[in-house]
Amino acid sequence: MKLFPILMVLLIAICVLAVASILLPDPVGARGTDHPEFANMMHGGAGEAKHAGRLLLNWVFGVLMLLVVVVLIAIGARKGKGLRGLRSPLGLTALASIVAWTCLVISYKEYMTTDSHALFLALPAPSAVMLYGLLPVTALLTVFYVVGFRRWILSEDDLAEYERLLAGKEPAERTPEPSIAEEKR
Amino acid sequence: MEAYRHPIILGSVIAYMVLCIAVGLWAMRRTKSTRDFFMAGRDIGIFVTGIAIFSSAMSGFGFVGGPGLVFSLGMSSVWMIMAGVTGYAIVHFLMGKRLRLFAGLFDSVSLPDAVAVRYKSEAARFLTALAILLGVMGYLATQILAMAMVLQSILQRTAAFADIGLVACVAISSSVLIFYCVTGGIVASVYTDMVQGGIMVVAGVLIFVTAISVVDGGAAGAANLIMADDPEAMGPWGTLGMMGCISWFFMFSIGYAGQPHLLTKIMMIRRIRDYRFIPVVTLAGYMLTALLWISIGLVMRALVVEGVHPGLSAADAAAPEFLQLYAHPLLAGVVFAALFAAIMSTADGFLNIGAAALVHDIPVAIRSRSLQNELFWARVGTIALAIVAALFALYSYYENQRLVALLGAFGWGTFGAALVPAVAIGFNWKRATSAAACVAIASSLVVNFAIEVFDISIPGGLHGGTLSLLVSMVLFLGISFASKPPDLDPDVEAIMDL
Repeated sequence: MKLFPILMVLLIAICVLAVASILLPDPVGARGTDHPEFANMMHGGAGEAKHAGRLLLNWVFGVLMLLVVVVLIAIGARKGKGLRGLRSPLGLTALASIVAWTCLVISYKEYMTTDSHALFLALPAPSAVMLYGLLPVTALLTVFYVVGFRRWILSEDDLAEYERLLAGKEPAERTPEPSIAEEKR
Repeated sequence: MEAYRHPIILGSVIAYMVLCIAVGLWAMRRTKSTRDFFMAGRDIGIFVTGIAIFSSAMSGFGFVGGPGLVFSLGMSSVWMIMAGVTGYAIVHFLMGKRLRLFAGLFDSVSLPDAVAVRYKSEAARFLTALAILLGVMGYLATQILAMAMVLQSILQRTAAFADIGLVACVAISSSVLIFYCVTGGIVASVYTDMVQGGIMVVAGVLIFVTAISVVDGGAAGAANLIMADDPEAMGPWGTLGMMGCISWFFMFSIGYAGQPHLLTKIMMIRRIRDYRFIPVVTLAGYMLTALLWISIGLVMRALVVEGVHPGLSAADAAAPEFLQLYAHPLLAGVVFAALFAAIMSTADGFLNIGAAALVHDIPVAIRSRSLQNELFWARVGTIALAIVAALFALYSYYENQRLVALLGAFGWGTFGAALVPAVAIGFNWKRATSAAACVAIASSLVVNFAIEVFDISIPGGLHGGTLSLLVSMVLFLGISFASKPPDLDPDVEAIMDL
């Protein structure tokens, strides 16, 4: 799988979106404004005015960003040209994270246009999707690492090969560093 | 008990400092060579490494700046925590195995050592060391200043030290830091990190439980109060807006793979097969500590908008005021010790990699060989670096506050933009060239410095660090694709095949 060309394409696409974001007129109070009542506190203002025209662009930005994360993980897990069986778990994680991200954006679209907000486990719906949906999906990557370490990260054959390399390495070839005896001298 | 609040807090901090000194003395007996001083003899176990990785990343920011950001921006800052979860996964997959394999086979005592071997380039080693040294100076000065200010605020509440000045506090806190870093090198650093991480986890859990009981209705009550005042603050983007949060997530999550104080710790683990369990320890510790970050920020915002607590003089006062007014004195003592722990665990890691850059990497890059009696010079370099950073912090505080902020801003963004392409991607891609690595590192220094010096605000909510990371990654990939594939050392190639 040509992971590095894919990474390059994704990064260029993010650059294009970044330029588009820079060129689009900044909505008023896009990064919040000073709170009218309390010092050192920012006020979010009207979500609809801040995000309505940019929701799609930002959603695409988020999707590309999640794909970059998955591609980087795949680069780290790659052996030779293959992914040692990690292709399906990573593909499913990418899909699940994009679904969670999409649900987050959709629920926020609803959130920013309504006044009453029900809470789920102490959070409004979009924030709940973020913390209880997107976060666990990204944490899955760590689960894969731990569960599949022997299969996908470092097999017994890899370790044996590494031991062979270590055994064949002459001390003189190693990075120049004074020995303990030299330091004592 | 309430009458003893300040003595308890002071006693906890003193006990913690004595513990650090004791660890330094113990570690001195285990530090007999440069490899011990910079790499802990590559003999660190699972728990120590896992906890050191998360605690050195959390820093004082997680205990003061983090709650302050949640107080000020609402849920925006939670994206930094989300970035941590993803970022650690990226670090483990991209760097965990690979970096340890490199360090073991080539006997690397620092990250620039490994970079020089990977690219067969002393220029790449020099630029990596330079980026580390510049970032370290800013980070270290910020940490020393934070440490001194916290100590001053504690001491000034006691009758004996009511008039103590900041210079004296810088001297006291830096002396403890220097003592255990000089005597025990990175061995003392990682073992104090383990103690510090443990204290941080306990503090995070206890504070979370305390915080949600302060507001009527618990966490849901706090959320309702905040939403009644400003629904956006409780929404997923907080007050910062969607692009700002996405931009933070990008920079912080991918940037983790370029933080030299984390990567260096990966190189120290005793047995490579142990690495399997490190992500669990790191992630669990990080998540539990983050509970403090979110809970104090949200609860203090709720209390202020409800009118129960007066407005804050600064957003960063959220955590100290919460501890002074709402936490049990014993808990406040633990958390203040944890705050010191968080700051010191970051500072000691930076001090060590900065000293390595100064006395090992830059001399080797210039002279093609190490200094004679390198261990002695490593200790001298550690002292020199800490003193320069302390003076720099004081000068900046009294004369030009922008200086530390300038170099501090150099930290995360510059490390990310410089080292993610050259190290995190380059160590996993045979086609990556030394020219591409050098250009990526140089571009990160130039772009980040330009953004800070000229105070450039990027429209659209994009963070400057995100822009510089994008630029350096695209340059790195583009130059490598456009160049002839490099001839790799057979051993380097073999390691990259594993």
